[in-house]
Amino acid sequence: MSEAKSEAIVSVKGLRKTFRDFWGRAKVEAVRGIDLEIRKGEIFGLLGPNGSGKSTTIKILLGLLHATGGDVSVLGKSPSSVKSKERIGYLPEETYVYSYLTPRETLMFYGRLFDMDNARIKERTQQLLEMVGLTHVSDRQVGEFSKGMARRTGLAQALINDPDLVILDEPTSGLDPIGCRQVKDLMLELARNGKTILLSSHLLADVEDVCDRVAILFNGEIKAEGKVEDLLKETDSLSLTMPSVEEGKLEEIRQFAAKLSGGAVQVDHPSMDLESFFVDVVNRAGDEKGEMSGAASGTDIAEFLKNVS
Amino acid sequence: MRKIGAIFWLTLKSAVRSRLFAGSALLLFACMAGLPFLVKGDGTAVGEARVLIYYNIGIAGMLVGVLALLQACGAVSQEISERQIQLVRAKPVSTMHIWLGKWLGVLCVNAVLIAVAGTTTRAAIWARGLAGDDVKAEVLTARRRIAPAEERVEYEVDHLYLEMKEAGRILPESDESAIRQQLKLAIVSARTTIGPGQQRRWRMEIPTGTAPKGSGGTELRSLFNAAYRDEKPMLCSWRILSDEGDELYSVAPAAYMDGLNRLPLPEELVTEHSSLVVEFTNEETRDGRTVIFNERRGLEILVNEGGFGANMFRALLVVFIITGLVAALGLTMGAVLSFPVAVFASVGLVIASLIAHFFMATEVIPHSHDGCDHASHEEFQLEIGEKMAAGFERIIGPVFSQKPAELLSEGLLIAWEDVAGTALLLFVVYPLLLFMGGALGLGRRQLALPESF
Amino acid sequence: MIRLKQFLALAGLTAVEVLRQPVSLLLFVTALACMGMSPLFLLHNFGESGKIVRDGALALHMFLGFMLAGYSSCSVMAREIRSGTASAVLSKPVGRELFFLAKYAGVVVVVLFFSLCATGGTLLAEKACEKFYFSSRLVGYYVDNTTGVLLLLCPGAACLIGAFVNVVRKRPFVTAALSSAGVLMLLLVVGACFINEMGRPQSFYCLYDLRLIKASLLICAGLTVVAAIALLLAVRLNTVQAMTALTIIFLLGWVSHYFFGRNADASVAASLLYGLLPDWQHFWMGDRLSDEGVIPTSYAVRAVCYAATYSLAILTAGAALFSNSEMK
Repeated sequence: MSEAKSEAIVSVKGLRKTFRDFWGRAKVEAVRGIDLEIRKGEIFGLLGPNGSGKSTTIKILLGLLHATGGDVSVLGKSPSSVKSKERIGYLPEETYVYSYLTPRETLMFYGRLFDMDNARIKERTQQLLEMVGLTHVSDRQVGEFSKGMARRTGLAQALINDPDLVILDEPTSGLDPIGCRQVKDLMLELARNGKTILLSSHLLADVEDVCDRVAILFNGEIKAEGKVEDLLKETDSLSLTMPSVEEGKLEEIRQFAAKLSGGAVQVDHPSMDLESFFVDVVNRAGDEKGEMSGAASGTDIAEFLKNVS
Repeated sequence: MRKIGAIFWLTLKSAVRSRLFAGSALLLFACMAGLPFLVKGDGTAVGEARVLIYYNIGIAGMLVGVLALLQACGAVSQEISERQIQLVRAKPVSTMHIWLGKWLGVLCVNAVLIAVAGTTTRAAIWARGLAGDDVKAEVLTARRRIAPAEERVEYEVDHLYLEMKEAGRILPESDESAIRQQLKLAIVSARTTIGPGQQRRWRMEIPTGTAPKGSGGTELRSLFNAAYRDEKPMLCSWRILSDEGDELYSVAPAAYMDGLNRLPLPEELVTEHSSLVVEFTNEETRDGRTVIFNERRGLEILVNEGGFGANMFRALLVVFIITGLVAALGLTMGAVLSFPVAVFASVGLVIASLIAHFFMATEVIPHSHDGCDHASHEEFQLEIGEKMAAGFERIIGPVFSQKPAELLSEGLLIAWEDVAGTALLLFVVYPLLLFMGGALGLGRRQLALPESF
Repeated sequence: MIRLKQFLALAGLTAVEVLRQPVSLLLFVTALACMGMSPLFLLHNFGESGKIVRDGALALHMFLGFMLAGYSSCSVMAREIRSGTASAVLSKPVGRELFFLAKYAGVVVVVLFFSLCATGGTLLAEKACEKFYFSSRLVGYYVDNTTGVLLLLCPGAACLIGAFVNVVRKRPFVTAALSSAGVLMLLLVVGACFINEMGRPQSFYCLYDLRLIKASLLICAGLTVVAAIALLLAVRLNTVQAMTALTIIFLLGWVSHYFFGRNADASVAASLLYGLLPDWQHFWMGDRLSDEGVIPTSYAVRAVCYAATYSLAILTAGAALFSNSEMK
């Protein structure tokens, strides 16, 4: 994305969130002083293992949870401001829509909450139902839907108000591969139209495909943040790309690559894929920390199965 | 407004699509249609009509109240526990919109259920064939009840107390409030007791807006008992006087039986005067006996003002207002507490109010006279209990003073001005306070907490 | 054997789940606190305090027990079906009937525990309240404030112990407080035998009105019926709907004898409705205890049999309904 998109849509400074028990004692420190800035038009990925504080951060941005400390501004306003929500679309990690409504009624209902006029709601509802592929079942109650279909309803409701900031928590969860692809295309399309997207996902390939910048959270802290390509770049080594050569000359190639190939030799920093990078960051952070509030990485599953058998 | 409308529509849809609404409507219909065939009155058509109306309206109010309370408690709390509220609160909707929308939705459900109950009751009266002239005159009517003006006895109590004190008849260590209470009871009972050759006057204020229907039926109704009972009538006479003492109407001494007596009055008496003085004379005869007027309904003027249909509508409106208040209470509790705790708190509050009302309404002689000295901490306990009950009663008194089923079954008018007063307090002021509490509480509540917090 | 193990595991889990709900503690604390308050605040009713306190305590037992049994049954069943936990359990070699009955057993265990505490509270409240004594030893009205105050302090102390256990041992507060309440109540019931009618120490002597044990037992039997009905309703309805339906059945059950029972001989419909609706009057012995009245053992046995038969019928219907329900 271009550097011109500099207006901060979401600004978080020193955000902390502590869940307390009945006696007021700190039970879980879910977010431990994170700083974040999401700029207009970018797709920002929030990554992290289970319990790392992603959903808590999102819920604070939406005013559903109250921050223990720090400053949060969404679209220039406090998260508790009702006004700021006029330009936000939100899809939670589970589709919390009313099971007794049909998808059409669901969209009409949420449209009315934005005070949109009826004609506009109807038009937008029809467009969104077509977009998520639910037109043919638009008069069945959501309670009868599969998880993926309900998810599509949830995605549609997040876009009913044509929001400037779209917050998507695990948007592809429960969707079939085509649905996943459509969601990714949708995010790219929205970003092209100047919308800002905050995406929280476990599917690193999805994040890698669509995000401009990512932040990796671990135990309530940001462990890595930046552009995806920058983060994946291994700056302490070089990679050499060239046409293939005979097996016997490999050693010589290693020593005199440029000289022996006779062609153009491209020297570059090697890149990991996002999955390897993520595992690396989490493992390093895990080694540093003693006590964690989220899930710890378990033993290798294949190893476990081998031992069991 | 559209936001409130959307939440209202959602609440309505939730009720309609759940089996709850259809089940409740069916149950109400079954109760209202079935009860008249199971409940038996005193054997007369009037008695049966009274019992039918009283039970039907009373049970409808209770069932709709319970439904409203549970529905309201769950309206917000269940959305919080099932997390749908997260999507709603992520939209530009304030907690005030949510509270109001939900309340209006529950009110609408209540209105439909009460309408079902009312219509079925009316049909049941017709189906039971309870439409004879006597039933029409006594039950299926709307008569304004004009009772004697409340007479203040404090002055007389003060006077008597000082007199007794000066005469040295009160010991210094006696409980002053207990003695005053005794004196008050004595004065009140003396006023309702009229011996042979004695006379008694009551002042009746005619409320503005009293408008007889024009078809007669205005009457003076007295309820008294003889000091000892036998089959012989008593000789009594009645006079109606103006405030200035001019005689407006009189009835020559006639025989009156022990119990309820009705005396037709000309309608002009209540249309042309703002107050009347009713004079009763217990004539001195050989068989003369002391008569004791019923303390609650000893004397009243009844003015036939309208039809039963409109009166029933107003009675149902009062039921609707009360169930609306119950819904507001449940909604506020559900906005700040989880469903079971909200139900518990709401029901607990209602029961505590009922107990307080019961204790305050029962005029119990305040302190014991069992002769033993009670320690000061017991007095302290008593005081706390009384103060708590009195505090509760002050708040909830207006709710329990509403008796739509009783008035309707007695054929007494539920005046529009009374309904308006009730609505202002119970449908506007109290819900407004609950609304502020609920909206504020919901706003401060963290709606996306993990389940164990 | 495996069925028994499964049954015990599921029932135990249900009981623990109910005992961890804050509303359970709220109901226990309210019951004991109100029972403790009534003898202390109800004074000088010309010897009627005993009846008022007794009726009040039994009413609290019935009403709060209804809430506990009703809500617990509704929530453990409806919530598990909706959240998919029931599916997870039923995907194991566990029969649906066994699952349903184990849920009932779990709730009944909690109801029994509540009833035990409430019975203790009722005995203590009745002992503490103002009564007129006319014997060679005592003449006049006396209140046992010591027992009353100890009973009033009991729920508070239980909460304090629960808090202490929670802070020090990191055990769940609600469970710890409820267990403490049970233990404290037991100690208090025994300890109050060392307190006389005036609240002063005495050598061990039982001053309890033991008729209350039978009255409380009958209420407990009624509560097991409530639990069965609630569980049946929760198979098909969500928590709010099930609680609403249960409340209506509860209210109708109180008037079922008046409206239907009396007309049962004359009308088939009334007889059918009387048979279908539970008659709670069978379990309410408050009035019977007035004027030195007694509850005949034969009556108590018949009422318990009624509760057992009614519950059995409801549970059979519930198990059949649950077997045919589709899980999430």
